[in-house]
Amino acid sequence: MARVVLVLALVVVAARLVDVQVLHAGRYEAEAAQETAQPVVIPALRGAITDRSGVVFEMSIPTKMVLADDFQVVHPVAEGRALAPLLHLRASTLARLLSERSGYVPLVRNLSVSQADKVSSMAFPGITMVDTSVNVTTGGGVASPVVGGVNASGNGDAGLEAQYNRMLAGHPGRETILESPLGVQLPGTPVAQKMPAAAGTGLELTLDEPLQYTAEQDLAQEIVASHAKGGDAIVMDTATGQILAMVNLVATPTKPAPTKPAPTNASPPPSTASSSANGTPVRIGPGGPVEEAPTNAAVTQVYEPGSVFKIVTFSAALSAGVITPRTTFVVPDQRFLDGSFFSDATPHPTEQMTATQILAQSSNIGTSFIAQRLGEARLLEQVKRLGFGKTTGLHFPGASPGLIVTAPQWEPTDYVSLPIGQVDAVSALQVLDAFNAVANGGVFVSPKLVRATVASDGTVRPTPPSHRGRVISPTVDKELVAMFEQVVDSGTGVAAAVPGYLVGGKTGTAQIPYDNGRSGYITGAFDATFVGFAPANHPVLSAIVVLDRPVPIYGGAAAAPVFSKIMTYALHRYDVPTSPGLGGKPQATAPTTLTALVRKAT
Amino acid sequence: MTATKSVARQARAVVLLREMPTSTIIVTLVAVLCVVGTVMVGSASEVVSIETYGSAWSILIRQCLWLVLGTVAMVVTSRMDYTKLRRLARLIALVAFGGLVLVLVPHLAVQATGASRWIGFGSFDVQPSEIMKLALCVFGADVVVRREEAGGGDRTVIGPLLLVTFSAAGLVLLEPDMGTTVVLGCIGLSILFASGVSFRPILKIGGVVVALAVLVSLVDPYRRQRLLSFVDPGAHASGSGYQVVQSLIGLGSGHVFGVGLGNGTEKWGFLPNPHSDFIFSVIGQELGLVGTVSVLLLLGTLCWFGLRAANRAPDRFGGLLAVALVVWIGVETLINVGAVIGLLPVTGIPLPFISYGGSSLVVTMAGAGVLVSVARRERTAGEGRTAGQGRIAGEGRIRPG
Repeated sequence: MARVVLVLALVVVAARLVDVQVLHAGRYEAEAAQETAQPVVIPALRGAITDRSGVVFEMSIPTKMVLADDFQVVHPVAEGRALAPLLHLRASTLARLLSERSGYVPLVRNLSVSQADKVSSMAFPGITMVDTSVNVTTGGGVASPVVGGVNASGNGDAGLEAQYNRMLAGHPGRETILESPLGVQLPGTPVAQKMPAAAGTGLELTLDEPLQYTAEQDLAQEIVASHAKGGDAIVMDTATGQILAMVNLVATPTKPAPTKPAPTNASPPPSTASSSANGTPVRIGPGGPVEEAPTNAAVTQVYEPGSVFKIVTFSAALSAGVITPRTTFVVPDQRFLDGSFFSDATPHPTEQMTATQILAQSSNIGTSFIAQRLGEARLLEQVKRLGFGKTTGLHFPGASPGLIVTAPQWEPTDYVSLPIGQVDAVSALQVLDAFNAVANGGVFVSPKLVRATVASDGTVRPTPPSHRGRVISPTVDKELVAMFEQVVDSGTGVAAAVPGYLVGGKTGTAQIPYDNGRSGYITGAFDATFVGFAPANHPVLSAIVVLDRPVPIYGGAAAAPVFSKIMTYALHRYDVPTSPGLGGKPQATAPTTLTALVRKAT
Repeated sequence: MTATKSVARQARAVVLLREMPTSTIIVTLVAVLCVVGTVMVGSASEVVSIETYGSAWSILIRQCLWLVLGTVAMVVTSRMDYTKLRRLARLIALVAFGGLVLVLVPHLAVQATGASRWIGFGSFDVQPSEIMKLALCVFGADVVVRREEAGGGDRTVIGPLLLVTFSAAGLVLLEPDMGTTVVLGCIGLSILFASGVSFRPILKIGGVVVALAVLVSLVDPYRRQRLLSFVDPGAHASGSGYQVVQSLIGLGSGHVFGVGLGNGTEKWGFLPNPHSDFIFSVIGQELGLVGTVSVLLLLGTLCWFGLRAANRAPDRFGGLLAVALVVWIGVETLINVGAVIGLLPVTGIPLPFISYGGSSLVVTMAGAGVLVSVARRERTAGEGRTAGQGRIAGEGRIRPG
């Protein structure tokens, strides 16, 4: 009887065991796998951002995060001492970390792979590693306002890094590990469903790093010498709209820690200014007098450009046929219009001036006569035609279309204010785009910063060419080029001249409006601009230089010399043939496009 | 040819097994079970051990110490003449009852998971209800034999036995420890049953006991929750049914051959008490159906030969004692395994010889020693061989460790 009960009990239990362990084993196995499975994301390496010849601005470097499961560490002090030199941590710190009793202690977030290999080859108990990456900026952050940055979570938070974030980021991989409820990886369990991470696609920019560096230095020296608050500079390949350099600098707001006691006033010590002016490299960045700007202000910030905006009036008037370059006007140095008083920058007797002279001398009064002859409608239309009031086509994060006056907002005084660039607010790049159209025979070319994308397997995919469109007829364009040449030859922009090359351009000195909602302009505050192109006989490069509140204030005095320096370097760097009749070695070949020249240079 | 040969070999094996001393078989089975248990405690406890003591070995080392103590206890009880236990029966019962009362004294008891079952002695805890099991076996068998010798009727046997059983079970129920209550009840009833008293009063009493048990279970929320979660573990998967769900996941994922010794995942914090109450599930996950059925067969065989020892016992006291001991081991096995496989409610009963637990292991081994002691004096089947004491005594020696 007892034995029957015993056997029956055994049979029942065994039957249930077969039921659970054989018949329904699959279900329980799945449940076991599901409750332990923990998806793990493998970060993807970020694509690099390089200049046009592969010089790296910013790139991701694979690193390892070193983790400790301190439950497995029996001798924290001894192990800490052994690990310390490999992890570059203090032995005492490590000993403390290794005895936290938490099971998961990150020791180092970004250890170089070679160092990590050393650590893993020594098989420390309880030490594991996870793939990470670190974003590295090279060249001390050259062009960083353009390139932008990557935040702590690995996403681009500014500039091109933000604009192309999805492409640069790549696709993180996935794998599943088996984990206990406490988050301890179960020993000896296999990694399942491994999907490798796909590295991001890199960007090859149109920027030319040596030119970028030189432009930054030239601008920085002027910022220091003129005690300016900051400045922008852009160099563009005329035919293609490719941006070869894009500089945004600000003067360091607080004094860099000097060895001697800091001067009591806010202006930089004169010794710094003079040494910078002499061509000694200026330290750009923390600790230097000048820093990279926090944003790409040449694209994202608008300003009232001043007389460089006269390009609108003159191109429209020539196109409409209301003037020729030789049309003469009787020009006083001041006038009243609709109750407001206007004057030229420098006093002069009332005199006869040709349109060319009005532009070369940058006469505000003369230009207002031409604008009135042209009329409000044609003036406003030309503003739009030259690209003002809409974004440049770069789609740069935070790019501003500018603030332009519309017909309903028009006031009679705008016949003076608008042509002299004290109404519309535009970006430096928009000004350069308009002048580049003149340099390019009247054809507007959208600017371009990304030359090609470089996939992680090395495939280079060039970006489509920039959008082009004629905005000025070839005849008018020739007349305009000649007039802009006069600005540098004998007008306000002589300081922009480049030996051996004909240069065309325009100066601008603009009052700065209050930015706190108050109407009117800040007393004594001026933006100085020079924008132009070279060689004027066959332009291949155009450039703009803007200085924020320099002393001297004038575009011709502060910005034009910087333009000259940058352009001199660029023309030589790309081996651009000199202009005929200006000396230099005679050129057998006809002037060519910059694309070919740049390829030769890099 | 070969078929005939193998049949002949099997027949010879059956004869050999029949002639083999029961004590030898029991000692061997207990030894194997203890080895399996120690290995499995080592595997199942490593995670809990690291979390509790900072070393994966702490619990295993403790279990080994208990195993040494248990072996000593088993050697002593197996070599001692079990009839001498009759004289000690009342003393043992008194000590056990004293312990059970002490456990209920708030400041002396060690509490765990809402129950107070232990008395603390330094770093080791003693569970008086374990001692009570052995005490009830000895005391119960003694009462029956004594009353029969006194010549009373069934009633004189049933009355005192049930009184002792119910008082012991009642005290344990107060801890509360439902599982041990059931084990004690089964031990008491089995002695009654084996004593051959008329069935009718036992059935009546049994019915009352079952009704009482159900009532008690449902009144107390702690037990009711456990019982209800047993009925539908999935509905309580994150609460009290959680352990059964995890236990079944462990068993099922082990499949036929298991994931390998030490490779189980359930013990990593999914399954509660992997080294004590649910060690059978860990065996199932790591060693598969092969492991669970083997352990089951080992325990079943132990019961089988325990019953043989009872049948062959030289006196009535020995027979009843052996039955009680077998029922103890068998019912504990059933309750534990039944809970692990989701057929019975979870009551916190250890798997004999396998689960971690000092009191349980030592007392169960002592009980097994008593069983061996009874078996050593078995009347051999046929051929006029007498108890053959000298031979069996030599084989019954157990080396500690």
